[in-house]
Amino acid sequence: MSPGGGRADDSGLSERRVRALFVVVLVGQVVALTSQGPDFEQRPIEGLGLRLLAPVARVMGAGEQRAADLGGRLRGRGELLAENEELRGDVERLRAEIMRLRDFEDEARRLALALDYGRQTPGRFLVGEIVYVDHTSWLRTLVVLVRGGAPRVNQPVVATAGLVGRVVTPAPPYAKVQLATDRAASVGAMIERTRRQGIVRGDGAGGLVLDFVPRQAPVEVGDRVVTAGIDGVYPRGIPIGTVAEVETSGELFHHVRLAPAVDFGLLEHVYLIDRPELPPELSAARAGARP
Amino acid sequence: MRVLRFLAALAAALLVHLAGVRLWPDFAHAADLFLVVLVYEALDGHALAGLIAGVVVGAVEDTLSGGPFGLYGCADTLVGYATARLAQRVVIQRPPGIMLVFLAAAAVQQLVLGALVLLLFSEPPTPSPLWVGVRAASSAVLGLLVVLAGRHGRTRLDAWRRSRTGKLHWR
Repeated sequence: MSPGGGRADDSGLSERRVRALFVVVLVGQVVALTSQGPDFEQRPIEGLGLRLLAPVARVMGAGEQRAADLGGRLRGRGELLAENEELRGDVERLRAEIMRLRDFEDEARRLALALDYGRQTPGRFLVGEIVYVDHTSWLRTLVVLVRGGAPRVNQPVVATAGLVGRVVTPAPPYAKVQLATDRAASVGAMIERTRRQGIVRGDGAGGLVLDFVPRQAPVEVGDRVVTAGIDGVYPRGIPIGTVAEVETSGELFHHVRLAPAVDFGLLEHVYLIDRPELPPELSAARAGARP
Repeated sequence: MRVLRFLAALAAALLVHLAGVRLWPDFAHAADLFLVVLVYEALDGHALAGLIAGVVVGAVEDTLSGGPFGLYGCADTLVGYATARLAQRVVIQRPPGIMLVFLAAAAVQQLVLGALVLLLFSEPPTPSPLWVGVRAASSAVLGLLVVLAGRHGRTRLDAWRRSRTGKLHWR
């Protein structure tokens, strides 16, 4: 029998002391959990965990890539020649497209100059290599290795197809990203055709929902939805998804389901938009604001 | 020695989890290897070890999942401690009993996660009941396999040690 009362286990602590320790630890965890702010302030323990676990995930990914490369090397010569030909055709087509788009860019620049119009600069892009992605669980997440700069909280994350999410826990050189399809995620959005604004939220099942679009506003299946640039996080114009279903019930707003622009199962690289941060007075005004 | 065994099991679970998620996107939905490691450790009946294992396993699961950090920490701490206390009071040796413990641990973990998420989110994400069931069943099966493999390994190790001791004695 130990001095604290009750039977002692191998550690020498009595049952009562272990029970007390359990209560203290559990209450401490619950307090720490409930005291986390809505804007995901940096969490040192999570950052440490990311720095310990992300390299392991990266090594696993590199091993898988090597195995895939080995498989690729074993493919027949004929297959490789055919693929080479196809890729040459793609390169030529893309070169022609770039030349056409350069013409449009020059024309837009001339017109903007003539109108004295200040064009919004999106900022530079940091490449993020995906080291871990879980896009199917109800608590989904993405971990990236960021090259060329340090990630910041609320940094927008995009892919070539469109919006991926935002950084919630930076642990340089790694970052944890909240996916746009997460139930807790929300994005200021607008329907590209009509410029009608609303809020896009994740539905927690891999899809997106566009809220607060009034019943009288026209919404059609196939409409493209992009970021509106009104939430202080995402710049304007990033594709979010396409309207897949519109339900109009007796309520004030449409219930609009979107098909995400990004296929999270096919992501290999993402891009973090490195923009100047909001001035402190604007950040303070935005903090805690919820749609 | 127990600490090393636990850390090695956790590392193995991590590697299998990372490989599984790459091969099958729903792997994280379908199996919780970290919970299996936690319950296996807690079944030794040492409450303090179960508590600490719960904190460590919870931190790993929180790092690999979305949402506020600490959800899995709370759930796994409770599961680890409760399992260890249960193992102190009840002899759990037969396969049905072992499977029931792992099944119950998975169910309690998901219940605690769900309750915390309901408290924290105004519009909480909810797990699919089908996947909760799949996860609990897979935890039960994997847990039984791990326990039986552990027992078999221990039996072989004891036999090897006895044979070595016998040889030394003869010298």
